[in-house]
Amino acid sequence: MSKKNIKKAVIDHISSKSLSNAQINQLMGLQSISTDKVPVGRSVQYRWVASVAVVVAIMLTTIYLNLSTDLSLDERIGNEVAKNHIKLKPLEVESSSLDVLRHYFTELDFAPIESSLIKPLDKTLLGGRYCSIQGVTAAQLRLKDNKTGKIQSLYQTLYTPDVFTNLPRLEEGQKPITIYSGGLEVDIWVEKGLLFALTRDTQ
Amino acid sequence: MYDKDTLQKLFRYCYALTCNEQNAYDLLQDSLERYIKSDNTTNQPTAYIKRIIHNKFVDDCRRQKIVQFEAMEEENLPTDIDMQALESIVINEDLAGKVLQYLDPGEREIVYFWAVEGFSTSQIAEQLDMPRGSVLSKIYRMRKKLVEHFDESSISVLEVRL
Repeated sequence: MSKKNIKKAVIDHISSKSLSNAQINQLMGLQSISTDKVPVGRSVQYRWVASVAVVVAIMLTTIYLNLSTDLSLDERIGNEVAKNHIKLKPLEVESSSLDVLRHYFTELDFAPIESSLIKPLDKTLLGGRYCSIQGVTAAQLRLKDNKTGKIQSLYQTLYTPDVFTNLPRLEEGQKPITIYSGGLEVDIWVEKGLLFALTRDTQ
Repeated sequence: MYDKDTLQKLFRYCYALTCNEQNAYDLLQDSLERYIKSDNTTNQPTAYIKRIIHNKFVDDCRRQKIVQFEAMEEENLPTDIDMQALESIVINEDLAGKVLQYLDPGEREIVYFWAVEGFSTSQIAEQLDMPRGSVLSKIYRMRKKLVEHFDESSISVLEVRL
């Protein structure tokens, strides 16, 4: 086995790691939604263009925020979880056992549970990761629908009435509300003291 | 907006921290989102996002209790220690990945700035916002733990300076 200076070996090893084209496209796309940044390496002569863009971006952002605040809570939750689900970020814990996941989510103020609306035989639990809903720490459980094979995300967080107002409560006979966002359906409900949000592909 | 080359460099920095390609991508994506959401108008966006990446990684590690980021213990260091302490090490050419895995994230970050970015100890100290003595201390420990952990057939020291 030939040997290398450790510096050269480290450079070669790290340089061998690179983003795939799909990942680059995703990151470029992520940046393209932001218009209020001065592009890296842009020469000074074009900065006035960037300044104008910033002013326009501020105006658009202001309009957007005004519109955003007009969104109802269920719409904001639906938009947030749909966006989060689409990213399909790597699972922090992989298991088909809810008990295993309950032991993993030690930073939560609650233990993830099964919902009466989801039949265990219909879904296979794949794992979970931490996330947040409207700034409240939550658990994201990833499920596979046994009939369609499609991946779904089930979000659970502690139901706090002062944060999550006017959401349907199963115990009071109400049915989940469905929000359409990002090509998905998101069912939202409150059950056993937890707020649930379940993504589904639009039929 | 970061171009493709810059994104690749940032990804490699994330990889040096996480030692896992999927986690590196995740870290880069989250940091980029954080950067976009921030209202910073820095004229050094690459340095700024590296700071975001570093801080997010440290936060994540603390939250997930992956590694403890603790203050360095004082120890008696040789007075002539510098990057040459690492430079003198030669390893089997396929061992780099295992070496990085064996180092803790803080050590890997130093190795990254030294090897890939070509930083001096003073520049690394400035980048990581730590005393130069702490950087030297970590280098000393790294060299020691590498030589002790890996057998002589896979790692050796060309020049003994310690």
